[in-house]
Amino acid sequence: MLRGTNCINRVALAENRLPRLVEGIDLKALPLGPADAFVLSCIDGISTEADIASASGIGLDHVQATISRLIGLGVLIVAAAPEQVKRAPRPRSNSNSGQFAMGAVSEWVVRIEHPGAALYDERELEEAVDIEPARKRRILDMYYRLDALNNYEILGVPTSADRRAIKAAYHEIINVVHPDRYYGKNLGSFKSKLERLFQRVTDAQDTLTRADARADYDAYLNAGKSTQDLERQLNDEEAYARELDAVRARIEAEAQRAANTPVPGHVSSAPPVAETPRAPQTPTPPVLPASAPPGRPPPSKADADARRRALARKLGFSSPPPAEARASAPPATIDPTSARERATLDLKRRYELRMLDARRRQAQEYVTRAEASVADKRLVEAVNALRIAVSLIPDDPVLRQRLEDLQAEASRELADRYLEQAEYEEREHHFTEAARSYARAIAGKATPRMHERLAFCLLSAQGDVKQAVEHARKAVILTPNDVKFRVTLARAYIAAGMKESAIGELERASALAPTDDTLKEHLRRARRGEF
Amino acid sequence: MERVIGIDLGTTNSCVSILEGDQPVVIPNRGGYKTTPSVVAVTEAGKRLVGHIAKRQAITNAENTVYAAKRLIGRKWNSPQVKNAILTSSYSIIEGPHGDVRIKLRDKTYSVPEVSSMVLQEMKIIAEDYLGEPVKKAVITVPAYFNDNQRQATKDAGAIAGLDVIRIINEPTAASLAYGYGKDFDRTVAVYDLGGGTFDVSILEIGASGVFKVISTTGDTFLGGEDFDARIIDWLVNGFQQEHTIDLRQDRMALQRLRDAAEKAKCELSSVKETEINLPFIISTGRNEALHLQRTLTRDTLEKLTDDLVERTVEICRQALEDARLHVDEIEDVILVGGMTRMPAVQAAVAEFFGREPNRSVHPDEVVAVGAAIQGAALIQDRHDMILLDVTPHALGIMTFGSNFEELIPQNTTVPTSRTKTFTTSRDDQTAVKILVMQGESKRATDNELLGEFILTGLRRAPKGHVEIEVAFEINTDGIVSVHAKDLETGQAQSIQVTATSGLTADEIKNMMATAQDYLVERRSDEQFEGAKQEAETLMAEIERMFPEIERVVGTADFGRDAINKARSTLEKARAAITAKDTQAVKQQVEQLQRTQRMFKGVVARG
Repeated sequence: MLRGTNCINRVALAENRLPRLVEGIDLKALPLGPADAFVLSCIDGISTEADIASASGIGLDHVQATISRLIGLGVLIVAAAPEQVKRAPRPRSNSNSGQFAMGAVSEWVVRIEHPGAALYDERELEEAVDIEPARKRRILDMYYRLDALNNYEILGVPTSADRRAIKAAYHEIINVVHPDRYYGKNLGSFKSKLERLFQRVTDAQDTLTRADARADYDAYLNAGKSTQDLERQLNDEEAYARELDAVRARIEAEAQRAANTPVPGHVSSAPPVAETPRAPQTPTPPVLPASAPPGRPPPSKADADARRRALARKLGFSSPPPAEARASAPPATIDPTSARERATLDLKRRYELRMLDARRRQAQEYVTRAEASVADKRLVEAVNALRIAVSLIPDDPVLRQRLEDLQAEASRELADRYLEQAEYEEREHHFTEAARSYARAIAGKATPRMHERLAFCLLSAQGDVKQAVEHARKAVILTPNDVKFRVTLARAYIAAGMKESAIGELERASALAPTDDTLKEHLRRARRGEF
Repeated sequence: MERVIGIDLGTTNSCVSILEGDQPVVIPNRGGYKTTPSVVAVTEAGKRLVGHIAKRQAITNAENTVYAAKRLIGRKWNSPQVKNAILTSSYSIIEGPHGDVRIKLRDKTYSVPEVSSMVLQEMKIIAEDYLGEPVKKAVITVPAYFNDNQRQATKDAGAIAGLDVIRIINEPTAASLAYGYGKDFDRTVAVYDLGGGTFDVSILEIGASGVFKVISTTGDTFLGGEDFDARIIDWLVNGFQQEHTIDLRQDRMALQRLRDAAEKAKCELSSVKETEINLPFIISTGRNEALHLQRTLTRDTLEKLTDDLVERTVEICRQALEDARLHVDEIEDVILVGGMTRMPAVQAAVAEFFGREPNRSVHPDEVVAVGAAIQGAALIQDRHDMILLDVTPHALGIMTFGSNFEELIPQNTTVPTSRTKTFTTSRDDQTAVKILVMQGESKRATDNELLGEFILTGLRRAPKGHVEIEVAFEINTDGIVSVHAKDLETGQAQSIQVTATSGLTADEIKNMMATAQDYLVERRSDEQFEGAKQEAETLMAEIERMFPEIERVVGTADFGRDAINKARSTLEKARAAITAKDTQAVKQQVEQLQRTQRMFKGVVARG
């Protein structure tokens, strides 16, 4: 039902162009730098300048300047991306599921405003019914988008709309979709469509005009959205690969620039990084003297600062150079045959040292960013940043451990969100959904109560009985003295046809709560075989 | 343009109205009265009398004069309400052939809709006399708390009277239409409708754009003016018994006189503090000696006699607010409907509960008919300036295994609406299911009203839980229910438009429910299956896609051929599991598919 909610409504920027590649241009023939190439690699005909800036971490100014330059070179053309149109229609083949989901809402906005782009078969407009064509169009437009829209979208109101505005919007829509508007008219297949539309918009307005229901719904919507965003970000391999490519490009660029300076590989003299990452750039902490021996056990969780310092030390050249770099350096035993070869070799070695240097600096950068994100409680960002750092310095155990810890923490956070979602769904009696959310929550952080609730929801949704038994059992094993847990387990046993076990469980529950008459009645009936 | 009349078919009085241009007009009858008693009689000569004339002769022809037929409409013979009516009615109520209720007048028996149709016909004639042209279409009102059987029976009555009933609407809702019609209101109102036989409270939002949306409705179909009258009658009868040791109830004519006197006294006490009830020669002692009844009833006494009834209405108001999730402060106006709301004690109780003086701008006897006329005009006119959104007063569902009531449409859902749920068979090799359509608020099916039943046959023989049946409920704008059941596998379908009136006896229902146990369905959500199916299909597509590559890499080696054959058979099994709609099997195959996919990926990576 919330299929449309995992979309990010990005803030529309005053200037937000939508660049597209000009086909048939030989890029190799053009005077392009790595930064240009990187920006070019981000252009997919879907992403606007703002999208590219946020996805790449390059500042918007920089992206805009680069794109302007590329337009000047004739590599790109630009379609204006007006405020409302956040996504232009695009070839399907280009889309992956993540991006597609992101586009869904805005796409709807676009289409509602340009009814030409229809989701329905144009032939449906030709059905001979007593409805004027413009209205038919509007009805079909709404009807075929029903499932993708949340309650706000279906009423066409912003999430900030007050009760009055919601009602006004509702009244406007029902004047189109209420079957009484067409009393005695021939409606054909439109009749059932109108009824479904009417029901859906009515449900939406009922929820949004009741303060408590709306608050719950909003919380649910936000939780669902942020959970999905988080989950997507956490597993966004494409963004990770993109970021990694960008970092590698930067490393390369840096190493090349450094090659022009007389003292390669010296950190402090390296020119500033060309592409400024968009994330707030914390200055790299000064490298501390190696007071602690390298390879000490990972620092305790409690002291984030100490850990950051330790990591900084670790990366700050106190550890041996990464194996990868060593391996790629030519073995010293080879005796070069000529001076020219020696010079080439030397050049190569110096270049690789610069690469290593640049790589370390970048890794350091990402570690800093990751720890800043941790401090801001933005775990997913931290995980993603640290992943990049680990990819750059793959054989650092401290870094790896830290990444694993953070990943575990992020999935715990995700679990908390799923738990919230599950509780809402359970309250709203959407047991199937609730069971699903509980299961996800348990995957990140399990408590006996969550097991019990999952079992309960599965039973209420007439779901998988075996699973219900399993989870109810877990809850009871973990908390043997909870009457409610045992009753749920008994219910699960009954559902599974395990009558003896059910009676046994009810007996134990009754022993725990000797004054509970309802329980006694249950037990009596269970013993008589009445389930 | 054809014209539509609005008829308020009341328990004690009925009223008819029509829109003249934009102006609603309440049409007077030949006697010049704007309301007509809902009384039907058959004279000794077999002549049918309706309205004032029937009411006037009631005393001399009590046994053949029907009052308050509305209390019986759509009811079953064994219902407590009918039992109660038998005790207090001067005419004879008998059991019909379908466990329904019949009324005996002279030597003929009539069904309740037939009797009501006589009143409707009278209202139709009144309108035709006034308009000078035939009238075909009508909107008829019913108490909001009427169930589907009662609505259907009312619609049937209209059809018998030769009317095309284009809509049945709720009385309090109709009243709110009359109240808000043509005004640019934007407010939340409560309608307190205490009629002759029924009590309703509805909470509505009236929008400036002509939208009337009911938020909640609740009531009691056996609480009204007649109950107040009955208290006065009891008081008179008991007093007389103490004095003369004679039970006046045994004499139908005396009872009829008492009824008239009680109603008259009640009405008088709305304007005066006390009134004298004087019924000379009320009964003969048998020794040629006549006894007289003469007592003074004060307003205070009446209020004491009926204070529990008034309190009950206040309780129902509280319930309506709770159902609407509103606080009493949020009600911006209270509309009083029904003759009983003239009683000062009722007005005081309403004012106290809602914390405001009730609105007096509408005529309590006529407002419902006016609202019906407005709705009728709004429907057939192309110029739409009003739209009415009403709710279903009762939850709707079916009875499932274990006599549970499985709700499909909750109470106070805006109509039209429809809901679908999937159920499964509850026994092995079950080839038929019986769908028992019920209405009510109880979790136990047997406590609710049975609306109808049908059997879906021709199901595939399979272990229980394996055959899925989709049950769809639909309530149209008339509030009339239709139910469809479909075997998802064979497409075998059955449906009923729930047609009521053919009431069943409690025993019949009991028997039916007992035998139905064998046919019943269980509820199941099929989402689990869908989830597993999707997962499996994604994996299958991916594996299919990898085949050429795998063939290329390992196709020549024996172990490679084995792996490919094994993968193909896994795909086959997964497909079969999906076709069989076997959730458990699909899940197992998902695991296999995942393994295959991992293996393939490994091969491709190495290759």
